[in-house]
Amino acid sequence: MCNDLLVNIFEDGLFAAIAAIGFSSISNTPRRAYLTCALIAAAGHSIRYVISLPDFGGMNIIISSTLAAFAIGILAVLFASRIKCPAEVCFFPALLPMIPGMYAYRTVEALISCLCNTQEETFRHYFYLLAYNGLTCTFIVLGMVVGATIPVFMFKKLSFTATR
Amino acid sequence: MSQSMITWCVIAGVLSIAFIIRAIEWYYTECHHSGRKPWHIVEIGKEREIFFVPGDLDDNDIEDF
Amino acid sequence: MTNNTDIHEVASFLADYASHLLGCGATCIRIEKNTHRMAEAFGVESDISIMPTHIYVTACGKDASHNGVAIRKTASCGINFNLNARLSRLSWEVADNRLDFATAVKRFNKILETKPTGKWEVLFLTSFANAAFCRLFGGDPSAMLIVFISTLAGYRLKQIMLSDRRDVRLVFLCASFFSAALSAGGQLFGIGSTPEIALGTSVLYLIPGVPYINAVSDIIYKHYLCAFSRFADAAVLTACLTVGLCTGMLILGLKWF
Repeated sequence: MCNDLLVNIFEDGLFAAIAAIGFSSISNTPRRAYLTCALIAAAGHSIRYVISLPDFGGMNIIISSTLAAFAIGILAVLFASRIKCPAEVCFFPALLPMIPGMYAYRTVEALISCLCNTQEETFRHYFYLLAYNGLTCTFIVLGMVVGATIPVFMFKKLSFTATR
Repeated sequence: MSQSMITWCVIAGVLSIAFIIRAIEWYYTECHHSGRKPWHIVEIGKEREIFFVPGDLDDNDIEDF
Repeated sequence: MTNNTDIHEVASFLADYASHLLGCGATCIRIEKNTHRMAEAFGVESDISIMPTHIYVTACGKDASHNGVAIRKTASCGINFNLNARLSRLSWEVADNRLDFATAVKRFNKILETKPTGKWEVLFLTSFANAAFCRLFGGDPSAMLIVFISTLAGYRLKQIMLSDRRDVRLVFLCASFFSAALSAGGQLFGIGSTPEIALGTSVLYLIPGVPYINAVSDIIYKHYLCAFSRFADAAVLTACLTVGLCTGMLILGLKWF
């Protein structure tokens, strides 16, 4: 069971790392930053995976995303000066794999189902889905971004001298 | 074969034809008429060209000032 | 900086610099800090106002009657972290090594010539990334393959349309439509056990994440106007990609997830 868990965590980190490298290439990240981005993303995503497991507290997805993003922010600020890039460059690709795409789609789906169903009972059901998914999605994104930006704010000196 | 499968094939076909046309155009401009303006088999006009009035400033020129 | 022409040149250089930083996706606080750092090194006092589409810089020498003002339109260079890092480094070089003004301008022009990452490299890395994404959401290998192919096609379409200088909103609409339609093939032909995850993930590479994150950062540093404009930009693009996705599913007659 323990082995299974380790394999899952490793897989989670690996795919998050691949995703981070790909998405950092879209925004023209310098090549020397790829490895750092990948490591930070892997660390962040596996942290979220572990703390949201039922065996380890089963934390709410919003809080676990915020905590993982906070860890990503700290790592990004610490590593930024090593690769001589601003901290945003490191944490943005690391945050992307945590964006709650599925919640966003379900929101849109519920919205359209809402418009197609006029009966009160079904409408109410889809409206509930719309509100639930929409709110979760919004707060995950907000929590993530605030969590990752706070370290930049905390270590202002360090994060703005990264490219020195 | 249902209707949506046919639609899917049409969409995929349109996209691949677009890519092939693009590749042919690229081949001709790069390998044959080097230095000339890019050449297009099918071209969609930009809205600038449709609404252009003589004397209008070109957006691209403004950046060169 | 002694005479009038110099101060004008400094102001316009600082404005050019700031407009490129804004264009390549730097946060407002970084733009302010970098510009002030350079102005200080040149021995002038400067102030900067960042509007969503324009940058406004004033520089003034020791003698208050010597001052220069420059306004620049935001450079349209697209999100480019490489440029961001290099420009930030330039500001530190100016401050620490006391580069003179002429050298700084020369370096700046040289930095602007840096080539972006190769388009084929970006294309394949993005496709792999989106396939990995699909796995993170619980897709099986065949779903990953579908996502890989549809991302490859959609992203190539985006590159072609952007190089033809099409409107970016139209580009997002078309790219998301074709990506979604292609990946819907998995559901239509019954490939794999998780085709709906493939469909959902196929357009995720288009989500404009950088403006969303920058918007929150700008809010923290009280640049509300810039924050709102970045957010609105990103929201419009997200709406376009949603419309593309929904159109694709509607045409193919698929149920909503």
